[in-house]
Amino acid sequence: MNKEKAIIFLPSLCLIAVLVFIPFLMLAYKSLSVGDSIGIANYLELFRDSTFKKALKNTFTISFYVVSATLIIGLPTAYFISRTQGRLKNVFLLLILFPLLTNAVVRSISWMIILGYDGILSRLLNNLGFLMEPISFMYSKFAVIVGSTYIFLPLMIISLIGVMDNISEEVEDASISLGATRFKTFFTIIIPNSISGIIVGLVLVFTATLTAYTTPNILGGTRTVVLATLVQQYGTTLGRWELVSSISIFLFVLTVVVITLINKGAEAIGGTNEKK
Amino acid sequence: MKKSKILTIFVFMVFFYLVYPLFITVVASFNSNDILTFPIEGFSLKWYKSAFSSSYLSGFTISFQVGILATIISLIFGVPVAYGLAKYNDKFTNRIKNIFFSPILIPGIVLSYSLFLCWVFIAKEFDMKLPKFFVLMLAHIIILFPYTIRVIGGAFDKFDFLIEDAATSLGASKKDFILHILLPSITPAIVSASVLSFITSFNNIPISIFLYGRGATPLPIIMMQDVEKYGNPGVAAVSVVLLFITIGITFLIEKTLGLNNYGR
Repeated sequence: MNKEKAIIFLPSLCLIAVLVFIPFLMLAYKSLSVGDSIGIANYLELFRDSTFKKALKNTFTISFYVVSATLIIGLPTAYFISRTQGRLKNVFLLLILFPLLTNAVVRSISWMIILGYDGILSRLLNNLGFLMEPISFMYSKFAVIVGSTYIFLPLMIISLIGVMDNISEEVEDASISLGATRFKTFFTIIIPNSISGIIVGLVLVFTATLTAYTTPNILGGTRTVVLATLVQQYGTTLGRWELVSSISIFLFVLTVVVITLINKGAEAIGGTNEKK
Repeated sequence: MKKSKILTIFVFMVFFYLVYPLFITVVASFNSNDILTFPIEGFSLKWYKSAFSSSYLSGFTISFQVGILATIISLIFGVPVAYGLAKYNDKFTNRIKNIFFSPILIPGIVLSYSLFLCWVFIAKEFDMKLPKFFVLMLAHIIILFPYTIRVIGGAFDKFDFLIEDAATSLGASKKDFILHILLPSITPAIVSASVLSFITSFNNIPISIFLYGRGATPLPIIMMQDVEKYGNPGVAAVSVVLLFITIGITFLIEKTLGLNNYGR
């Protein structure tokens, strides 16, 4: 390593070492320490813990629905925006980007009003005759799924627009003039050519939902616990510190495994994942 | 391009889904009632009075200071790294690149907890309680660092490093080159990295969960606690104020940099 490289990189390497690696090693050590000895007792206790199992199951159920919903809603929307030109496209992009710049608390409050007791959804269903009396949808898996989809949809759409902009419209025109319906063209031309964007979107939304704290905390509360909210609840509220470290490590490993699996899967089906 | 009617209707429903909840919050903030409801019972500005109360204002000050400081420090560390990664682009830099992006892989709340463990360790072993504000700022630097490198790196990728040789062979010192050639050519990226970083820091909640304390509680944490305890419309009013600040910033980005340079 020559002198210039050292001047450029060393300070930041030290920064990462002090603020990320050392704390992380400390966390890993803590998760393995039982009293004065070292062992995996904390992890064994964790996997016997019923709240943890419930949180794990909730996290996966919620992530699955959120990822599916953002993909299903995102594909047509991104396609529509990428095929819009001029000022209108900028307006659409602005509408998509704006929520990303807004605080998760701000965005979740709206859903409290919609999903709360006798809220907008409850009244709507009352008026339509599906419900006899006002109810609350808050603190359910449904609430977390709807709120998280709302929050992470822009991530998916932005990832998709990036690749869809590069698909030539002439290819579509060719497909249609050769007799394919527009519907079929979307599935046989647009989607296969968007794989790299879909992968990026999947990774972003999946990991974001997996590790999300704010939305599940506000809309799920203590009734629908996910891994990230469990870390906080076991820590600051319930004082079960011995488990907090092992849940944290578990959550980290889970994130890395999910990212690796999606990327491996993408390679297997031939979609290249260009990191931007 | 001709678009089918069904698609158009579908997409407008999606936009409705994205915008309607924000609209509700704006309306609910003018409620004269004491709970968050929609439609509202009567018009009142009283929640805006509470939005400018001392607890929210002090939270705003903390978030603002943390955001500004973390953004600047992250730039000071990040710009050289982005420069080095783009210039050398060899085996060595490709390997250490992963180290610089590693904070992205660790969930915010886990980072927060691991830093909290360090804080406790230092307090115990060295009998030194680091100020909460300082730790909060360090944590936010970590969150911002990868984004800074990515945005600045995008500008350096387009930079022609032959210019550096030209400048040096014509007698420019390292300092001249950095001040008069390098930095001016990446100014737009520095501006957009700063705005993006500040907003990211200002909005981030998980990274602060284990680190805030008396006199050092960021605004979003205060808002979240108020929402948890009682759905008071004061939070909605604060939200609306933040919404309008965000709209202002978004338009500023659009006018100065263009949206295409942003968020990708």
